[in-house]
Amino acid sequence: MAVRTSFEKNNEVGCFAKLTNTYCLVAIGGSENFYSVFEGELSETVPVVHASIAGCRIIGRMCVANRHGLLVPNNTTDQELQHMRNSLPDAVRIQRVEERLSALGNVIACNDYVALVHPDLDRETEEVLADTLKVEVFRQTVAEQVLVGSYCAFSNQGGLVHPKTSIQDQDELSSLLQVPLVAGTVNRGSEVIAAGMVVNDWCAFCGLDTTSTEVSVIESVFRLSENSTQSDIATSMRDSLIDSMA
Amino acid sequence: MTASSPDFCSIFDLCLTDDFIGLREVSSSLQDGIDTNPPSDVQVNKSQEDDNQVDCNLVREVSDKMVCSTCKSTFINREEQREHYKLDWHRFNIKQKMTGLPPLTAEEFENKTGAGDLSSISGSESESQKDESDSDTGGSSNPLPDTDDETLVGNQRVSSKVIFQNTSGEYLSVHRCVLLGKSEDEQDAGSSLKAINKKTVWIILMTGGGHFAGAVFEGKQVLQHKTFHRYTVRAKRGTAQGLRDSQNKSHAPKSAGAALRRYNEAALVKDIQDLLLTWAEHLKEASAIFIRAPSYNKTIFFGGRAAPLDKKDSRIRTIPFATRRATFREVQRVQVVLSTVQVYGKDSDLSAVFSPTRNTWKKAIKAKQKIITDHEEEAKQESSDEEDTGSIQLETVELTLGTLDLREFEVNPSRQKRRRRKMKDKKPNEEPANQEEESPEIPPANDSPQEMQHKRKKKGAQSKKQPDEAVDEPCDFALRDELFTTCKVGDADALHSLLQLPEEMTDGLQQSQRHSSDAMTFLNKPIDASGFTLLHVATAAAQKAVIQVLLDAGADPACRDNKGQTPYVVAPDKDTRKVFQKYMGENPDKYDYIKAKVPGPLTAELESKKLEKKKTQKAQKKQRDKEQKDVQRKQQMEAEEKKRFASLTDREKRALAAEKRLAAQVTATGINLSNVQRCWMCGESVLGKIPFHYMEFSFCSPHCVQAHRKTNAVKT
Repeated sequence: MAVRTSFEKNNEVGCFAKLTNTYCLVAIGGSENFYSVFEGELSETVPVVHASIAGCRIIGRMCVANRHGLLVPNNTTDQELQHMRNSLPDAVRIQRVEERLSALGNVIACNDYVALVHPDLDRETEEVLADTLKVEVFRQTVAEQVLVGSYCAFSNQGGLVHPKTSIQDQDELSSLLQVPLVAGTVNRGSEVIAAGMVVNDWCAFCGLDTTSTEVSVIESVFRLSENSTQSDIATSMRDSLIDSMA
Repeated sequence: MTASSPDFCSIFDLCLTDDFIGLREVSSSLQDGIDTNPPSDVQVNKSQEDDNQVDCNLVREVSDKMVCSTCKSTFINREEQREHYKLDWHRFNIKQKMTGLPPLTAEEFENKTGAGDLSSISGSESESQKDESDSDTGGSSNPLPDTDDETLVGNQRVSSKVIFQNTSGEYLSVHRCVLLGKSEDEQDAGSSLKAINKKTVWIILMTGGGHFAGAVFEGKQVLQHKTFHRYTVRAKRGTAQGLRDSQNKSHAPKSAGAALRRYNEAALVKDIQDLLLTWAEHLKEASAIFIRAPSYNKTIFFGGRAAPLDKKDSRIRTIPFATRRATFREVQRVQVVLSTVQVYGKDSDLSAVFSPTRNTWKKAIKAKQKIITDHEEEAKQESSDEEDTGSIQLETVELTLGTLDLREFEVNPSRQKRRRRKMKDKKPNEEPANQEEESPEIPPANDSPQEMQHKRKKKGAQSKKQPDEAVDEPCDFALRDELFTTCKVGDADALHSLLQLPEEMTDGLQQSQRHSSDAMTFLNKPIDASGFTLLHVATAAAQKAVIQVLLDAGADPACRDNKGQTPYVVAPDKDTRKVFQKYMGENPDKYDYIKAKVPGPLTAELESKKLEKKKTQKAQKKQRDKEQKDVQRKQQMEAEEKKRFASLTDREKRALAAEKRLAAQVTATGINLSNVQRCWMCGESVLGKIPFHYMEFSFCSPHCVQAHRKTNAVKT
């Protein structure tokens, strides 16, 4: 299920939220609208937590997370760290990293098994990443862009990459990440995929501007509409159809 | 080369032979954005894109194409793929790609970074790039510094090269260290040259600046190699941390960086020693171990209880030329340089081999240019050999070839050469050993082979002896001895007579007159093996009178011994040095005192001033001591009084108080009494304070009040 939402009229929802399979971080905003959209979708399954990092609201770009852990940049305050520690499940490891490229969300893209990272990322950070998030780390670019965290978004089911990614690169990345990939856009043509959406294995949130075509691509590649495939439609609508026919 | 050239050809052939129009058709039918690939790939792409178009709406499957488009490499399995992305090569290529440069192949990358050791990347890439450009010529140019040393300094150093001549009159030069250890005598050179073959095991170990590189070679092949790098050298400032610490033990830096470097130094030593432990087998069978280590790094190899190498091992040699940072690449270069034999034509001037002129530089480069491949080289050598045997060849032939090749080809049919070799071994010392290296003296290519052992040592010794030779005559010898003893013993009068100083000229004997001129010649000549002049001898023996006499006689204090020390420097004590300073004060223009390292003149005036200063200092110190003693005495008295008062019973204290009151009355009359206003408990003086009172008692502190009350309570 892909939901359209916006953060105080801003469509870059990926900047203001971080979604994983075990928790969700949401920026502290002026109103609770944004928060309640997430809460409404997720509250039954995962905790939705208000958070800020280094006093910023763009938590989605600052941190990198999956179901095993959460990495935050070293300018995160102790208080913020404590708050996150208190609110997140105990199984989630939280780690602060000393990294020159402090917008971790922009330089690292990951799911629960693999991570793509900026070619210049520190070796130490790479190790911390592998340890904390339990992922395999690959240094690679997406469509000649080094900000792999910004230009692609992938879950364990599939991934959406920069629209100008060549077929060869898609193949390469797909075999690397072991998930199917599609080149596409969000927010009516925005190529900054990860800024425009957040996704986990069963749910996605994208900007309010996202067109229905984009939504359908997202739903298909992330397999969010698994239970509404054609066969599903056939079974669920059959009764009504037959009803009306009868 | 041969393998790669067809590859190039095939690419060109493709472009030329393939149907050009057909190609164009293909590319136009495809999207333009993607086809940057070589033509062979295009068809594959095409089929794939067709597929893509078909299932464009469907969810794509996980691709099983294991490729890295950045590095243009494909993988067989997932493991290989994973490993690839961890490589520096991949990382480097990504960066290349981002800057718009073409990617490097794995081989190119290894070459660039110095044979694939990671330490080189962490170091500086510019250095390794520079390597590439000049390492080729470096081989032949490197011996230069050594030869330079010899000719200029004229020390007793042996040439770093051994030269052989064969029957055809060609000269072969080989690095001496390859053939001989330090202790082995020189006749072995020929036989040890013969002993080197394809199976010879060499080990080269290099350290410096936190780097270590070592390799085991069997012939040309690398059996094993290893490099380490640790951060030990202080950034910007230079010098290893350990060295810095040992220079100034009391002020060893305590910074985190220093601790880090210290740890790394220890770790590096351990790494190396562990490595050498695993190489124990190779170390045993190696015929030569070449080591390049700065002096303070030598302990890595020779120090400690379980030293991996024995310092006295005859197989251990140092590398006789300059080397760069210890990397595997450098080790390989060193091996190549060590194993090359340079062949000079019979007419070539051998002095050029040893003189550090540009001449050799050019020659070396020329020689380099002639090297093509091993095969060709061999062929060339063979052909030149044939020519040699066939007729007289006057052309200069310059070649560089590996020893190993040379050996190989001695085993080969060239029987004549083998015979020559044998003959050489039979009579290696027929020729006078210390033949000069100037070519005019060398008899041109006659049948008897001669070994051109380079006897620099001898020559050096000769030149050194020259001053001695001057005094070879017995009477001079005696005179010299006499002078030496007088200086040593400090017999100033005897010296006077020996030197025939002007004042005593009148009563001089005839004999000594004859000597006097000779004696004067000895004044500024080195008189013993360490280059001491008479003045040195006298100074070292602290004979002040003799020094005075010698200086008067004209012995130059600026003369230096072999270590470059002037007499002033060898003086054992202050008084001896003062003699020089005084002399300088008296005769400021007689000698070059700056050259003699005499710091400044010492006149009577200055001396007295110094003495006075010392006196005043002494007096001041006395005064201070006295004051201190006074204070101490007062404190002691006070303490005693305190004690006495505290030991009094309350009654007595009260009595004292009464006495005090009495005294107060008495003071009115003008009589002074000692202090009785004290704390009732501890006896501390409460004069000038406001005491604590209870009943009629007074105390210095509430503490004392409490204590006093407690004791009283017990009593009552």
